[in-house]
Amino acid sequence: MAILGNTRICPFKEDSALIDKIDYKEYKFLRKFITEQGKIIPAHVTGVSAKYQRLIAMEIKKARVLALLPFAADPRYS
Amino acid sequence: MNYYETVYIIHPALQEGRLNDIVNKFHKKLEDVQGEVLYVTNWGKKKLAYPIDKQKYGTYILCQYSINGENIKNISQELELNPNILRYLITKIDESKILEGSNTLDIAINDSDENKTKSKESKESKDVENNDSSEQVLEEKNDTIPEETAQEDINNETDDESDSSNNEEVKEKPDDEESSQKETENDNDDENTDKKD
Repeated sequence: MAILGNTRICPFKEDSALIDKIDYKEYKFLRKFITEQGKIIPAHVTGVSAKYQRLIAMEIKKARVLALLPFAADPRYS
Repeated sequence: MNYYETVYIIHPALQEGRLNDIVNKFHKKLEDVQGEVLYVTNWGKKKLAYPIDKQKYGTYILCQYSINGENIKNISQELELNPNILRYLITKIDESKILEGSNTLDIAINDSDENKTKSKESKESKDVENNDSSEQVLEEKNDTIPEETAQEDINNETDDESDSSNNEEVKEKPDDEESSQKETENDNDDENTDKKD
C-alpha cells in the first residue's frame, strides 16, 4: 500500500522481463492488479507507472471479455 | 499479410470429435481466404469467470494465423454465426509474439495423456518463473516504513557508538528473511489455484 513519504519504484522498470507478462493470456499474473471484487487497482496503490498501468488496464479488459477475469465478482456464482 | 491471434470458447457439451470438427471448420474457413495457420493450442475446459449463455464452463482454443486484413471480417462472421462458440476475441499481434509449436490440433487430442503431463510440467515451470518475477512486486509491498524505522530505533539503542553503515547491514537481513517466507507462502497459494483449475 502507498504510504506518504515513501517513494515507490515501478516493478516493471525494475525488471523488464515482467513487461512481456502484461498479456490477457497471462490472466493469473494480471490477478495481482485487480481486487477481490474484480476492480482494477489504481496505479498509486500498486506503484505501477502510468505507461504500464495503461497496458495493464487494456489487457485486463481483454481478459474480461473472454471470461478469464470477472467484470464484477458475484459471491453467489460458484 | 498481418498476424492475428484468436481465442474462442467452445460450448462445454461438445465431445472431442465434434470439438475437432469446429476447429477444422474454422481452419478451412481461414484457408479459403488465403490465411495460414501458424499455431493452435487447446487450453482445455476451464471455468468461466461469469456465465455466458447460462454455461459455467467452456473449452478455450488459441489460434495464431497470418491473413490479409480485409478478410478478417469473414473470419469474425464465421465465429459470430456459429452457435457452439460462446465468445471469441481477435487481436492483431507482432510476428515476434507467435508461439512455436504444431499448427494442428488433432495430434494434441489423440495423445491427450502425454500432452496433459507435458502441459502440467510446463505449467509448473511457468509458475516458478511467475514467482521469481513477482518477487520484486511482493518485496516492495512488504517493505513498509514502520518496520524499518522500528528496527533502526532498536539498533540505535543497542549500538549507539557503532557506525550507521553497520546499522544498515543489520537492518537488511531480517527484511530478506521475511520476504522469502512470504514468497514461499505465495508459492503454495499458486499451486492450490492451479489444482482448482
